[in-house]
Amino acid sequence: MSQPWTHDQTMSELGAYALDAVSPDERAAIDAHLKTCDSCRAELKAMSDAATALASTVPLHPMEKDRSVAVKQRLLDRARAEKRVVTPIQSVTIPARTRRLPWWLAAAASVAFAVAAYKAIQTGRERDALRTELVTESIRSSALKDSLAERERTLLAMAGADVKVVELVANNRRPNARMFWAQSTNTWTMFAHNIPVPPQGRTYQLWLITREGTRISAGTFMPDQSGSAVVSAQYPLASDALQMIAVTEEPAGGVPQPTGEVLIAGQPR
Amino acid sequence: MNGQTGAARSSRPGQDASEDVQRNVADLALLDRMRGGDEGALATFYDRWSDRVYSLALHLLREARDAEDIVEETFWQVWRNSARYDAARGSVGTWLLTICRSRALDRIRARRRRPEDATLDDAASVESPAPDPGSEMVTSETGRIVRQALAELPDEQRQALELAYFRGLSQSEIAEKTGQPLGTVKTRVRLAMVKLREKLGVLQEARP
Repeated sequence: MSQPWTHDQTMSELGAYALDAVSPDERAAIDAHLKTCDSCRAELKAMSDAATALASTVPLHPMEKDRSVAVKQRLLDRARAEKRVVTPIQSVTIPARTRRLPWWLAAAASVAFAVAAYKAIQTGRERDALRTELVTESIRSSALKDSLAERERTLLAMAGADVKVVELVANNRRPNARMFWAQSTNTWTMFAHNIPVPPQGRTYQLWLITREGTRISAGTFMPDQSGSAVVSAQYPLASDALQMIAVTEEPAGGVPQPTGEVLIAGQPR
Repeated sequence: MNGQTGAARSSRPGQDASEDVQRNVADLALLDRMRGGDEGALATFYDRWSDRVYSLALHLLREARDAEDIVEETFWQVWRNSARYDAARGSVGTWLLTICRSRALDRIRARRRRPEDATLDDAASVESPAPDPGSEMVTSETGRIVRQALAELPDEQRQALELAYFRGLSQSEIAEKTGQPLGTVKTRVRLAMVKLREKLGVLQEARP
């Protein structure tokens, strides 16, 4: 933003602002002025009411009865399903000030990738031994304050005996991610890389898609400056129920069902 | 549909202000129950508002299936975010319809980003919401006043307003669409909104 907007400049654009018809630069300038101007805030409230009142001019066109009943039933089913999830969703965006994975988590992720590949050819006993070694080494070398329990949980989520690994890729191969699904604890941990910053007002949303076609939101996330993100969630799912995992671009705050472009996707092997 | 309320029915001038207040009180009570996880409140709220929400979504999107999706998304957002409702920013109905419009416009903009889908040219066919104050479709005192205000606007101001609200176009996009200078479009939007606000101000003052 170059010059701060004057009161008159701002006042003249509040109608367009209320209609969401200003440019991003104009929005930023207006937002800055609104923070310091009571009269503009009051005017904006009136303009917003006026904009919303336009909806009252739309002719009534009720949904077909059976379709409306179906939509209502889906809503109620989702509301009930949400209650059944013990820990519904937890999204983790790397704090802006660090911009990088904590060293121990990055290290754990890298090692866990190796563990995932290793898993394909080694016995469970050998893997368990490796995991024990990893945890031991991680504990020994840690100089940070992160709790041992947290590190243990993270490593278990990625390197446990029951962990299923799903690769998520895009057509152009740039954005990619690995999802570690710890089935015994219903824990999902995704490490994403090369994720572009979404447009203003947009975010990324992670979806678990079942064989029946149910699309379960596993939370929204934003990449850090380096394009990386970690998303963790807990959700119970039968071991053979997963069809696909996908990340879509959606409006900020997320949506109940995917609407945007698929950024990356992958299927369990 | 059970409990179809005044939010979506024809009404008699003079009764509307108090009915609006009563309706909002009932909606607030339902939101409060939703905050406590009461699915029955969600069902009742849906019955009260789904026709109005669907009508707006359909008017914006013109696709019944898309409009149904938006209805579901809108009520789901209300269920998930009922605690975030701020009464100082307007009635529950205003909040609900704002969510609906925002979701629908996101979908319209997503369509525009796909080359195989609609372009800005589609916006040329904006249908005016029939500014006929005597129409049976007028659904509230607010709707009647807004329609009257729209009918009194010069055509180019009304078009600018409708392209912005119902098609989600920015002022720059409206200028591009209509071939008018951006400054002219801004003037039209400003004058139209000021007129609309003044008309609604009269309505607000008339309320108890």
